[in-house]
Amino acid sequence: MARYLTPGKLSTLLLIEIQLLSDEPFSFGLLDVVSLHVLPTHFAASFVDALAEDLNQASDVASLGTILQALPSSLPGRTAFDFLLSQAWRCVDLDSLHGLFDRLHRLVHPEQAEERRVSPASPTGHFMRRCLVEWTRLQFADSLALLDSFHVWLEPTRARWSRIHPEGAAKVMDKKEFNGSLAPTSQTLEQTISSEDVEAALTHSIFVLQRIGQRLPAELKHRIDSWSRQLSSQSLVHFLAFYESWRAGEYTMALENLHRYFDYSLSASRGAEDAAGPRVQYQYALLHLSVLHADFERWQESVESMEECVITGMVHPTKLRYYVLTLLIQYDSTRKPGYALSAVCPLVSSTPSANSSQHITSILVRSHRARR
Amino acid sequence: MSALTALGGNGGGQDELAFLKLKAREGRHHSLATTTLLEEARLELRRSGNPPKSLECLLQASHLAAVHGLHNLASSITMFEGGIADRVGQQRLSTNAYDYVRSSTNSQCSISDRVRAGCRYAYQLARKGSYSVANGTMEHLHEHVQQIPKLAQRVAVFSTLIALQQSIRQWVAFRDT
Repeated sequence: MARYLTPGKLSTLLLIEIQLLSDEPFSFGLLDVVSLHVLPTHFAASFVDALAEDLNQASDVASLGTILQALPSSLPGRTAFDFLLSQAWRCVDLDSLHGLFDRLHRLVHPEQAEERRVSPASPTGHFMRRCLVEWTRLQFADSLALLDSFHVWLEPTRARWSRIHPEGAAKVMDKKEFNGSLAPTSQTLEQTISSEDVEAALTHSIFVLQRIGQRLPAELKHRIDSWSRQLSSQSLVHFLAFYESWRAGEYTMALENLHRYFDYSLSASRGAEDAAGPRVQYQYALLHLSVLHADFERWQESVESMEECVITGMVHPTKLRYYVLTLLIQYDSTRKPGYALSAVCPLVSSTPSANSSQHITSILVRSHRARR
Repeated sequence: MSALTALGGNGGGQDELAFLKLKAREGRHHSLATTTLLEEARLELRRSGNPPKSLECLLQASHLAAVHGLHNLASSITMFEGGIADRVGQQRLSTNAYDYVRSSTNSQCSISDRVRAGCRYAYQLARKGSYSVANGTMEHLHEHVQQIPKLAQRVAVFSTLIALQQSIRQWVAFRDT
């Protein structure tokens, strides 16, 4: 799997180049398309639809073509998609790819300041600079793999492009680098999506499940699952599985996935310099565990997890204590009268007192007595 | 614990809420203050059944949420407004509140709130005798919650409730004739 650069990102770079250098009437429309790829999709009206659209455009040229064909140009019968194809089919060898990145570099960092077409601090400039850095650090074998996957990505448009530009098509076919065997293989298909895209999709899916509570469609979930198996870090995958199982009402699977997620997270953060890191992770784990128990109406286990979370929060007070606070208020008014205030007092104080451990122990003993 | 002693609380909802409000005000934790006000409104409604006092707390919470941009609480507050309006017999107001949350496509509005609002909206319609629209609303909800058993259960219960109400009214009408 590619680290960052994919055929989809190359096409976005080509669109940016066309948008910056051409005076065609579709420039504003093109800016809209570019912004969809460059800006985060959290502002979209429907999260699931936006996520599905992003993944489709990353892996398939047809969905991008559908959008671009709606943008007419000054040439009769030609659309923005034809301009993209014209540019893309010129980048079928490594030399042209180097040329593309050189041109992009000159757009962001020109020799004279007045020639600058895009600000390096803008979202588009930031995206271009990131791509330039990733291209520079790409190994030779990886750049060849990127080129192969770009060929495969472009293949469905070959007939259209040959019809519009027969001479250009003949010239490209004559090139040695273009071997013509463009059947998609498993390796080239892997290159159509980057690990960063998959992580973004996972984070997005978790956000949808956590905030909205909406489960992903089966097809989209299957695609994310198949991609996420190739990720080096599996913790987010287990976190997504935890929420999926929770929403599906599978208590045992949710519990198991939660344990897996925090095991992976704790082992990953063990090498971190911050000593409080694993403890905060542990607090979050306990909080999630408590909420999970409460949602399945296992109140005893839920309160026990919360108590442990409170004790952990005493040692390293964090923002998490306010989440705990809100939950405790909820418990207090529903299931456990008199519990919230006693447990909340030490949490809301700015620093833990000297005899905080004795204090919290006495609170817990009292709350246990109250429950009996 | 000095604050606890000063409040004289050894339990009791009012003392706890007063303590939390105090701490929220001191630390400028607007989210905590809003949540505490919502809890106070809920307790008022449950213990003393005092809708005006409850509504006062709710309006304070609503003001805090609006001023400090706590958009994720908007749907809960609106649902609560609908509940209080329902309690005092203002069904038109409550139906409007439920309809607002139900039809919201805002990314801050959870599907749980939308389903709760949709169920109550359909039930209000059924109480008015608009069974076809109510059943249509429930069918629309049913399509969205098929993968979430807890919400599907709620939708099934409300659908049955609406069907039961319709059957009872038909039976009463038949008996009277």
